[in-house]
Amino acid sequence: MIAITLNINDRDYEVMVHGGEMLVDTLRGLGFTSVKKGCDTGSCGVCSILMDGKVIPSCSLFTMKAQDHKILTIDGIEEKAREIGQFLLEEGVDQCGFCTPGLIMSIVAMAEDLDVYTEESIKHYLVGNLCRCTGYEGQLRAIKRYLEVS
Amino acid sequence: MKIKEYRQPDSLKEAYKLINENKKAMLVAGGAYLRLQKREIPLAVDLSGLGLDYIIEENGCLKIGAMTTLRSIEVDDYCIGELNGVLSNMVRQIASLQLRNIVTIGGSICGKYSFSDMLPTLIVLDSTLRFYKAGEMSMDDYLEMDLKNDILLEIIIDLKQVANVKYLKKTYKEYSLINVALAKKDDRYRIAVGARPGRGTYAKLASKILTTEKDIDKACEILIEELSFNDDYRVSEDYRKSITQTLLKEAYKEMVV
Repeated sequence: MIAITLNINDRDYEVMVHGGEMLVDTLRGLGFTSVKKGCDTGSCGVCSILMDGKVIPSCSLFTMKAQDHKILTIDGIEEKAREIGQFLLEEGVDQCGFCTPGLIMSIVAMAEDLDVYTEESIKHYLVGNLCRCTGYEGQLRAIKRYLEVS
Repeated sequence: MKIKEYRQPDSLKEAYKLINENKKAMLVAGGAYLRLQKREIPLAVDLSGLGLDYIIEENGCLKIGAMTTLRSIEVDDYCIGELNGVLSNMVRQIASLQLRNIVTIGGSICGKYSFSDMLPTLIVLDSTLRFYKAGEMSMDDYLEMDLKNDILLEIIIDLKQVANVKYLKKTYKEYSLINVALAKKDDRYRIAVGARPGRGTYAKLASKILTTEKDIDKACEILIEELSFNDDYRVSEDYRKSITQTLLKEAYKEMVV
């Protein structure tokens, strides 16, 4: 085991990790269970978090690589998450909710990253966030509305 | 994936020493594909923090650091504006944007993955790879040799050429069923095909035949004879051969226009 420091939601955490440990497991071990564990292969996006503002699947990053970076989970953006969540709710996208934290993290990154939004650019950005409930149409409507007002 | 010891060296010298002192050591670039493997590694040597994340233009060449992520390539002005935008276009359909924020160009090259869309593109661009000890070598030479315990530093691509890459996949996030890359430099074409399902390979004879539009049918014929194609659980050999020819024609047509 190796002792490292992780900066999560602007707070430093001293943690013991093993070399092959993935960030999703470390985060969940620290109590950040909003970071879901789904496919565990980098495909589904439910474990999405931001590292230095860039959205990544935390199941595909060795925890050791997260040192000296700023990790942001949905717990660190409660107000913004609630705001985006309201748009999702209004469009009926609040079904099982398992993908929602990861989706919201991708929306946050997208809002910072893209200057111009088109339906194509939104879809391109969110291709890594799978949802087995909604069929994506409601999500797309909600995201467009959120981006318009933000 | 079990890793007994995980090291993050401060210098290339130290990284090189570590992988050469322990023959079972493994270099870690992005690590996204490595983590999918069920194996035990005694020593992982992480190349983050060694200054290998850059894209610069120098003397008419594009130099891409081995630790540059695919997302950085996707949005880089040079990668969008030069070489018909082939580098940006090629990476923007690989996996998801989230994963492209982790996966590096160096890891993709050194993994020599058979499904890679990147290898055929870099092959036709006649890319030069620069290693810490072995120095510079062509992409073609590197793919044929078994270079171990060295560190890829950067990929060098001559900007005075045009290129195109075509691929077929059932869904956006899937690996390509076949991919075909084509480049033109000084009136000479280079063709490479990957996911056959074998690794991306330069098609020497077909490339030589192709000089003008009237040669494209002949080049297609030679291409499917020259390279090996096989069945896998996703698609048949015959289908791959047929699609390869179609994709080459499309790539040529788009590039000429």
